[in-house]
Amino acid sequence: MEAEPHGGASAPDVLGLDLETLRTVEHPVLAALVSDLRERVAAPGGEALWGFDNSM
Amino acid sequence: MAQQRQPTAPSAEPTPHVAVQQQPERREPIRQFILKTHSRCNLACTYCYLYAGQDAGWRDRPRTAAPEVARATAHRIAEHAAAHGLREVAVVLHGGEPLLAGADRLAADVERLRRTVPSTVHAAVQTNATLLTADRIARLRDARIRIGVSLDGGRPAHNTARVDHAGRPAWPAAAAGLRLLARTAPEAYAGVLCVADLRHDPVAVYESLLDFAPPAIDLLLPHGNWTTPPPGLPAPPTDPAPYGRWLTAVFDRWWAADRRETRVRLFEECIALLLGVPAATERLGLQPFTAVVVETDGSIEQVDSLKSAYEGAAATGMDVFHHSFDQVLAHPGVAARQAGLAALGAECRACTLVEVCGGGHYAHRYLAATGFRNRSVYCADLTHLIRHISAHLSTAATPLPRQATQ
Repeated sequence: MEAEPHGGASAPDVLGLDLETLRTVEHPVLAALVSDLRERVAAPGGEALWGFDNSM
Repeated sequence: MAQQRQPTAPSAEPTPHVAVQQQPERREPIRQFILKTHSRCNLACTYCYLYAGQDAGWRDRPRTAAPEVARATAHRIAEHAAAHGLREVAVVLHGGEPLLAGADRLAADVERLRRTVPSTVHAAVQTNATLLTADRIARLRDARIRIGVSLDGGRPAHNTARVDHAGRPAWPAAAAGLRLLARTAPEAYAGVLCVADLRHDPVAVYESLLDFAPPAIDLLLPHGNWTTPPPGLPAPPTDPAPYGRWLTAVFDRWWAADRRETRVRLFEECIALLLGVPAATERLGLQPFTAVVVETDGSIEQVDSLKSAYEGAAATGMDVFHHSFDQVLAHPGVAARQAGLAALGAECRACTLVEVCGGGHYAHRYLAATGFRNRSVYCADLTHLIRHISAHLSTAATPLPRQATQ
C-alpha cells in the first residue's frame, strides 16, 4: 500500500514559516491574511466557535 | 497518478464511528449550536444533501420549533456554558430555510438566548436569500444576527440546480435578496457559501461572486462518500483530482490579485494550518469539532452533512428535554470528531499532509463496509489543493533577491 497516495512528493516544507517571519511579507493577499491570523493567535479559542462549514 | 481507489474493507466495527477512549474531562465543550428554525425549505435544490439525500427524517419533524423547544434549548445552552465557563458561544439559525419562520421569530429566539445564556452569544443565519426583504434584513441586523447566503455563483447559469418546488429558478429572488443585503446592511453581511460544480468555470464563478461584494466566501465540495460518490468521482486516471484543479484555479485568481478582494475560508484555513495556526473549519485539520444541531422537535443531532452517508447517521438519540450537552459529548460520533488523529485510519495517519488535511470532511470518509475510518473520497483533490497552496505560500514568503547596486 502506498504510504502517500497520489504521487509521493510531500508538500513543500513550510514549517520554517511562522507569523512572525511573515509579518513584513509583501504579498498583498498573504499580508492581509497574516494580519488576521496574528489577531486569531492573540485571542485563542475563538476559532472553535466557527467550525461548522455549512454556514458563513 | 494512480486512479482513486476505494479503501479496503477490514472486518466491520460495531459502530460506523471510530471508537475512541476519551476521558470526560478531556472533551471539548460544544461551542457552536446549529438551531433548526424551520424544517422545510422553499427551494428544492437538486443536489441538496438534506432533502434529496439518503435521510428522509425531515419529513417527520415539525415545521417550526415549538416555544417549549426554544426555551429548553436556551436553558441547555446556558447550562453548558455555565458548566464550562464559556465566555462566548455561537448560534447558527439554520434549516431548511430559516426565514420561513419569519425574521421576528429569529430575532426573538436570539434575544431569548442572550437573556438566558451567561456568555456572549454570536448569532448568524444561513439563508438562500430568496426571502430577504429590506424589512427582514433590517430586523436581523438590528437583532445583531449576521446573514450568510448560499449561492453557487453570481450568474443564473451557475444556479440552475437551485430551483423551487415547481422547478422554477431561485436565481432572480436570490440575487435580488443578496444585492439588497450587500447594499443596505453590509455590516450584517457574513458572506456567500458556494458549492463547487465541475460544469462551471471556477474563475468565472469566483469573479461573478465578487460582483456581490461579499466580505467572505467559501467553496464547499458536494457531499458524497465512497459508497455514494459525489458528481465527477471516481475520477478518471487522466484527471485524478478534478475538484482539486477546480479549487486551485480559483486560488490562483484570488492569490494573484493586487489586494485581498474577499476572504476565501477554505484557502485561508489551509494556510492557517500550514503555518501551525488553529483552524476554523471542520473539513481540514485535526482540531476538535465542537458543533451540534438542535432540530425543530428538540432532538440533538450531529451536523446534517452526515446524513449524506446514510439514514439516521446524524442521530444521537438525545434531546434538549432529557439530555445535557455534556451527555451529547459522550456520543461515539461526537467523540470521534474530537479525537483528531485517533479517529483516522492508518493511511491518513501515515500521510505527511495529515496535520493540514485532517482526513478531510468527516462525512466524506464514509464507506458502508467500514464506516468513517477511511481516507476522504476527495483525498486526491485535497492533496492537490494543499500541495498547490503550500508551494505558493512558500514562494510568497521567500524574499526576492536584492539587485546588485552599481
